[in-house]
Formats: sequence, C-alpha cells, structure tokens
Amino acid sequence: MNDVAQVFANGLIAGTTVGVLAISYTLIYGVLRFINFAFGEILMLGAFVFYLASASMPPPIAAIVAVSIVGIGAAALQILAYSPFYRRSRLACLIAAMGVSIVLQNGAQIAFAGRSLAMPWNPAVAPILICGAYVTAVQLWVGGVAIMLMFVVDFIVRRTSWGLQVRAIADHLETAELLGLRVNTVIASTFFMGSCLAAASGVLLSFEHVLKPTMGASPGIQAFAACVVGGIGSVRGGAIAAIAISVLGHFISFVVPTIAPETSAYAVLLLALVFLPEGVAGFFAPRVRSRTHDKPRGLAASADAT
Amino acid sequence: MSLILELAPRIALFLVVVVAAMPAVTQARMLLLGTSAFYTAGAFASVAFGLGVHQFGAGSLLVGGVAGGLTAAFLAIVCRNLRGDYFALATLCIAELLRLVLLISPPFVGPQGIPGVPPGYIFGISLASPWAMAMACIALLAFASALTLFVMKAPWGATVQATRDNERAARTTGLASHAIRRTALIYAGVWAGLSGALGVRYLSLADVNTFALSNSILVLVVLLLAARPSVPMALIVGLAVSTVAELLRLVTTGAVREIYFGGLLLLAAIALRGETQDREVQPT
Repeated sequence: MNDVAQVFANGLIAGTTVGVLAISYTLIYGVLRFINFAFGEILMLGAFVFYLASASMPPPIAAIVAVSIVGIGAAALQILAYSPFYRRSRLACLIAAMGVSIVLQNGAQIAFAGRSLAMPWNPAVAPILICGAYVTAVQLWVGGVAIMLMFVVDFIVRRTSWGLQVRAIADHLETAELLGLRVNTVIASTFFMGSCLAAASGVLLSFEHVLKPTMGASPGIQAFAACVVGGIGSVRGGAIAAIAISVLGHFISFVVPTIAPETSAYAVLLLALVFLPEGVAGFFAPRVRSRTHDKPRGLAASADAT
Repeated sequence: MSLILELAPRIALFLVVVVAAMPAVTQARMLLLGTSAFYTAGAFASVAFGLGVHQFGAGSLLVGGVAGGLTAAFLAIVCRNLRGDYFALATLCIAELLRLVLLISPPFVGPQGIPGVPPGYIFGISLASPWAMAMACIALLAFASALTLFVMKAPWGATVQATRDNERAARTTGLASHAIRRTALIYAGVWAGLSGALGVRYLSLADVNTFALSNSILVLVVLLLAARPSVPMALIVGLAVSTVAELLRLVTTGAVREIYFGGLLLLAAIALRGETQDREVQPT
C-alpha cells in the first residue's frame, strides 16, 4: 500500500512539472496549429541557465533571471525560425521545429561537453510522511509552484484582454487580423509566454534531476501526449492529462521496471492520435457539433466550455 | 579506395530506403517518420531467421523484406485515418516504441544488440570481402531504383498521386485510397527491410540505434529537398546529403552531425512552405 502511495506521489509531483510544459505546447498549438518540438530543449536550456545563474545569486532570483533570459531568447529564436512558415504550412513549421530542437539539443551537447550537472546546493531535508508517501519539502515546493503556474496561465488565458486576443486568433487568425488585432504581436507574446513556461518547467525539474542536454526529451514527449489527450488547445485539459499520464507512467514503471515513463508516453500518444485525435473532451462532445467546420477550436473551444 | 569501400555500402543502403519511400512520401505526401521501424524490423527478423536456420543466404534477406513489409502494413492500418502532422507523429511513435521494446526484449540482448552477424552469401556468392559487400549493396540500390522508377510511371503511380492531389475525388471515382496508401507504405517497408537485412551483415551487428529516428528524419528531409517525384533527383540529393553525413561521422562528434541534420530540416521546411494545409483526420 505504501509503495502504491509513494509511486502515486512521485507521479503526481513529476506530472505537475510536465503539466507546465504541456501548457506551453497547448498555447502554441492553440494559436498556430503546430507542434513546437523545441519546447523540450527550451526546458533543458532553462535548467542549465538556472544552474549557471544560481552560482552567483540566490535561487529565487536565479530562477526569475533564467526564465526571463531563456524566455526572451527562445521566443526570438522561434519567431525567426517559424515566422516564414506559420501562415503558409504547418507541416513546414513542424519540420522547422524538429530542426530547431535538434540544433538546440546538440548545441548544448557541444557547449557542455556532454557532461551531466547537478545542483550543488540541493538541500538534504528529512522527508515528510503524507498519506503513506514520503515527500520532501523541495518536492512540495516544486509541485506547489507548478500548480500555481498552471492556475495563473489558465486565469490569464480566460480572464485577461491578452487571453481574449489569443483565443480570438486561435479561433480564426484571419478574422482576428481583419478586426484590427495585432496578430504578430500576440503571436510573439504567446511564444514568449510558452517559452517562459517551458523554461520554468526546466527550473523546477532541476531541483530533483541531473541536468543533461537530453533531459527535455522525456518530459517533452509526455507533455505532448498530455496536450493531445487533454484536447489540443485546452489549458486545463493539458494540465490534468499531464498529471494523469505521469502517474500512469510511474505505475507502469513500478510494475515493469524496464519500461520507462517515456515509453508509456509514446504509447499513450499513439493511442490518442489514433482514437482521440480531438482529445478526451472531443470524444465526449456531441457528434453533430464536432463535425461542423465553424465550431470554435482549441483555446477558444476550451474557454467556451466554461 | 578503402574509404570508398567503407562508405559505399552505408550510402547505398540509405539510398535504398530513400528511393523506396518515394511513392509514399513524394507521390502520396505521407510524412513518414517510421522508416527506421521498417529497417530495424527487417534487420532483426533477418538475423533471428539466420541464427535459427544457421544460414545467412538469400532466404534471410527475404525474411527481412517480409518483416519490413509487415511492419509497414501494421503502421498503415494503425494510421489509416491520419494525415499531415498527426500521421508523421504517429509513425514516429510506432518507430520509437519498436526501438524501446527491442531495447528491453531479452531475446535481442538489449542495448548491445546482436554482435557477430556473419556476412553470409547471396546466390552462392560470399559477401565476406568488402568489394562483394559493396557490389551487393549497390545492386540492391539499382534494383530498388529501377523498380521504383517503373512503378511511379505505371498506372499505380498515377493512382498514388491522385490520392494525394484530391483524396475525396479519388475515392469518388472508385479508387481505394486507403489500400493505395497502404500499398505505397508496404512497398517502402519491404525495401527498407531488405536494406536492414543487408545492413546487419555489412556491420556484423544488429542494433536498434544503427538506423534510428535521426535516419528516418534524414530520409524525409532528402525527399522533401528533392521536391519532385523524380528518382534521379532523389538519388542525387540523397547522395549529397548522406555523403556529407558519413564524412561527418568519420571526422567529428555525433553532436555536429546531428546539428547538420537540424540544419537540413530547416532547409526542408523552406522547401515545404508552399504546401497546402493537411487535415489531421480523414473523415470516414
């Protein structure tokens, strides 16, 4: 029983950080309808910049600095890499995102000489027993901050003027542009926000994981699977699905130790693409409505549901 | 000369996969990221058969081809209704799942793969010498290119093209679009399986990382850069791209080679930007 509680707790905490990354994917997919593969590598960059910054400043300030630097840099890079394509072909965007992802990952491999790094100041605090599972204070902080970030983004998307503009563009880019919205500015700010969230996810992961250039691959595939299962474009759906997939992956790894959570995520993603291409919410949506062409999709649809 | 003999089989086997994927990728516009699954299935099935019968002849090559074809048929059935980026991702998932499953499967030893695969022989000719191996790989490429050229010019090639140009219209005129797409994938799978079966003999090793996701991406990139459904063009682009990749393998670290792949992907994106938007799911 204690084992089950422990696996559940580990999956839950890991799932919250993956959930933050899943929101990054969902924001960009909601607006531009393409899968930004590079978010896994932006997560990795966030962790590495945090590692470097924390050597000379307190961790909270280092975290803010890392997220800001990586957010601005990654957003600029992505706008440069994707802007020639996103109005023409999302397949081209997908291919470009794969290219950016490979370049970033292997650039880091060269820059850090393939070394693995660990936070030097990771505190050795006695774990607390909660409902049969041992959880450290650091894990509670990580989980708490991740959940807070999810609520903040959800609030921003649903309740602010910027969120309304993002949803309008997600619903119909050309119409939003005709109505006078500064589409390019909103897209750039969405890239910035998505990149900041991915970097924040990397900062949170760095508290408990070894830092290496390939560290973004596994959370990246889990987050993308969550994004599809939760209904692409749905912030809440993506976050909840990320936690569910992480818990499921941890349980499968517990039962069959040779199966990594990454393998489970690939299987879930494949099943979701084949059987639930519009996500769980899309599966339960009324059949007639789901076939109409002018229905609100993605972020717009998720906001309509409330 | 020894460098040429070392590079020629690798490049020829890669080009076999590229050329055979042409009907599926260039004509039917399926963004196939699962060629590594076909290659790996062919390689492992061929070795398993060869070790089982203690013979590495033409039979084990054929088994590799059949295994590659069956994997492609499975992929085609699973991804039947997927199009565009969803199809690409689903094929990527299948290839990665196969790789991860093979990595943890006891019969296949694990991350080390199966070492010591003998070169064997084909039609009584031993492939033990580098010359014989290079000639066998080049002959396979010649067969694959000739047959692909033929099938793409044949009426079947036109039906594949029709499913890409307007699938709804093609179905209305009585073409079985799903079956046509499936056949194109199986064609790619059989040749990739044959390539894998010969590749393990050349390398003396059956390993899931020999032809992994980055190679699948490279196949797709070559076909996107070639742009036209032309076998000679695909061969020229594939030769240029893979020669540079193989030379980089010899002189630099893997990371530099991967950055080269990343740069090629960005070039392919530029080549693709004129494409029309694809649907994720085909209405049934």
